[in-house]
Amino acid sequence: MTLHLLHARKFKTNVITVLLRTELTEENAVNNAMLAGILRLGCEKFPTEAEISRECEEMYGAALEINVVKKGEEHLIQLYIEVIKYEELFERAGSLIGSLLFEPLTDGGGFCGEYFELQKSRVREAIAGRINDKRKYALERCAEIMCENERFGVPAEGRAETLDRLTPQSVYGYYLRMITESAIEVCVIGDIEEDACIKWASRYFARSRVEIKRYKPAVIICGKRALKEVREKMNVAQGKLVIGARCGAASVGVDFYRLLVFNEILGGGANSRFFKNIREKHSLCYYVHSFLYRAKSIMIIQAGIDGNDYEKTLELIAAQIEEARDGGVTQDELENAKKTLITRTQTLTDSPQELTEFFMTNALLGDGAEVSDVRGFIESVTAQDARRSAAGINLDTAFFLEGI
Amino acid sequence: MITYNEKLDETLVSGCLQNGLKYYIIPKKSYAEKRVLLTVKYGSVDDTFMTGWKAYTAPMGTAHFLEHKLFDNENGSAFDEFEALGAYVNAYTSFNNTAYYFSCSDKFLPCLETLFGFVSSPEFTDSSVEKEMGIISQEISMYDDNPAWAAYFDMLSCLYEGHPAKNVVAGTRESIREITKDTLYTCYKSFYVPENMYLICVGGFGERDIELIIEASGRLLQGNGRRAETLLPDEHVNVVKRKSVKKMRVSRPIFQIGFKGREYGVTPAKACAYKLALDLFIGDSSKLREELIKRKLADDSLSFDYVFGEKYGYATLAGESEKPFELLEVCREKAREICENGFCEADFVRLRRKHIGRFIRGFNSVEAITSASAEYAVKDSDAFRYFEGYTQAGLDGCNSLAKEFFREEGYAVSVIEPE
Repeated sequence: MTLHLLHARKFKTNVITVLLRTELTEENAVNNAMLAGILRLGCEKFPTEAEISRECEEMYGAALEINVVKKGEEHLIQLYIEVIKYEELFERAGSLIGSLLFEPLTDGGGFCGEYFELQKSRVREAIAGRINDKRKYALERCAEIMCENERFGVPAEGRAETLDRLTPQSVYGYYLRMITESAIEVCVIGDIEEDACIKWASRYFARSRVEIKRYKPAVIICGKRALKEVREKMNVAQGKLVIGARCGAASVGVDFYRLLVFNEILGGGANSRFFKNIREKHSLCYYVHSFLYRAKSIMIIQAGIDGNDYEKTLELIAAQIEEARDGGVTQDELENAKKTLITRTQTLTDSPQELTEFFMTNALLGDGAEVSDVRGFIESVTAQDARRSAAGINLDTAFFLEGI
Repeated sequence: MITYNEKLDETLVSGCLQNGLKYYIIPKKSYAEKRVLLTVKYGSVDDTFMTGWKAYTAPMGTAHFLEHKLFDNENGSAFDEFEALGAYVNAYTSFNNTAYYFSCSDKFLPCLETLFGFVSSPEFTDSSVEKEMGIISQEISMYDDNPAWAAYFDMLSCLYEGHPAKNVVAGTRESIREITKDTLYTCYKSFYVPENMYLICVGGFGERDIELIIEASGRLLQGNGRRAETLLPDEHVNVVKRKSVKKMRVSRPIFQIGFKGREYGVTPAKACAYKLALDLFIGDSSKLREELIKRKLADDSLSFDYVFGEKYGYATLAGESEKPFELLEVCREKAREICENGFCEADFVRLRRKHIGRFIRGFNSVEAITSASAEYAVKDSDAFRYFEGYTQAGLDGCNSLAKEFFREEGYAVSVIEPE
């Protein structure tokens, strides 16, 4: 277990985040989804959801979350608690996290049957409910189609068929293996004495663990293939276009930051090429932007458009990338993108959540860069670098959720 | 005026300038971010107002359209100017107000000048209005696809007959077609006056920075005139319709219950009491929530809120449920019980502690403090007064508010069912 502790006096709260790491597979995704919920439903000390809530309320409204998240080709269970800096709340919060994670409610060699069934219906609902947020649904479908033969193609909540095979005993067995073998990352941010923190961590996490798993980095696929186009019909007022592109950049080191700067120029915000052309010049959309799945070196481009504008929008998006590849980027564009990203590195220190995200991403990617190193990487990016990043981008899959 | 709140350990610098602008500055020591927000008390509820001696009604969605168009000028757009300064800029329109804000880590003074500059210089042309139609149509379509949004506005249509609180902020594709550059100029002149504006600054501002902000705001924001009087219809205390059901592509029913408030001029203490009462009634640790979960009528998608402004106020209860009407019955039954017996004192003490803790936690975030302050400012209040509201709220207040939940003819439910 790795403990990251950051002393910060300026916040009103102390934050504990615990990540349990597993490989992204269908089995693990659905087991993690079940486990995250079952742990929140009760533990030995607080046997019901309501009692856990009451304990948090007593702690001046401690914010507690247990959820699953997909990051690169890993699937993680995240436990998070944030308490205000009143005396003894840190210890009490730390104790709650320890109880929830290590003292769950069991019943005859498995998890409590009632909680298993309740969580199973919730996970089933979460899977069926993917269609409710149309924009998010289109995003997930694109990633699943693009990476159907890769681990990344596994959906974050898992699949319903895999869910049906689980039992209270099998999920409990999975839980026991997980706390023994999973790599665990813990991040504490706040006004906490190192001793107090180590004392808490030792009490709960210092257990005999052998053969802790190692995780392979996400597979980055390079090379070109013809654009795969998939359309799906749904009763929607606005078509949701999502394009996945392979970028071929390493996920750690200066190469990634070259791509990051280019992404900002291309589709980062209101000053990007996508916004200025596709929205402002052609009035085709309200939102159009791009972002990166860093570990996979995949760029996702999203736009909400009228059903009839699919071809035109696709052409305009491709044209922006080609123009950058052939003609490069302007010095103004480059400097502005770098300024924006550097401001972000400065303001990330204003948020315990963003700081946690920064350290956890580093841990998952095996990246040792400090915030100041990141600034250095960004500053070093040249117009040539941005042009080369553009040249490395291959549009791979276009998914369009269109109206009936 | 400089106020220090000990429990929050925060300072508020506030005042009113000669030009009428009111300002609220909350310095956050050691924070890198500096965020400045300028809000105008003009939102989607202000479509009908007095110009001279006559009443004028703008098409639904005008306040939001105006917000979009203010970014454009003959040289390009305000986005370009902020980009050159390395700052992020954005805006939003809601029921009661429109807000323009930027976030930066340095050069905040040139950014402030740019902000006042573009908000003070409207340049509306026929072609730029026409261009924006396409963009905002897409924005409206984006909201149309959101079932929770549909449930919300269908509920408001059940609650209100004539009050514009029920209007969709961005308007409809048809209503925005009626907007012309003259519409925008009329609305701009009526509401974008300094005495109707509020400046919120939160982040790493030092003493000297604060002096510079106050000086620049007095100098750069010119204009006089009073805010136009918004005309609001009288509303019956009862709802128009008891229920609304619609079909959309969803995995299970989504519902929104609205409780129409009978009183206006809600103070901070009252607003806090409303939120506490709702939490006591159906929050995470309530008996009602436990029962709804046990009977498989609700899960953690259940949420609640209290929304208010000029001559309107309503509480909402929303979520997903296989049987929303059965959920409604269980809630009504519980409400009857609470009317008779009131809430439990121990629960009240615990929940007040929770709300106080959450309020303190909110002060971690520059963004959260800024947007909350904007909402309070247009109600002539501030974050410190709202915080005191929680210490002032009492069990009795919560009990009498709870009597309002589910009063006959005072609530409505809208459901979005799977197709």
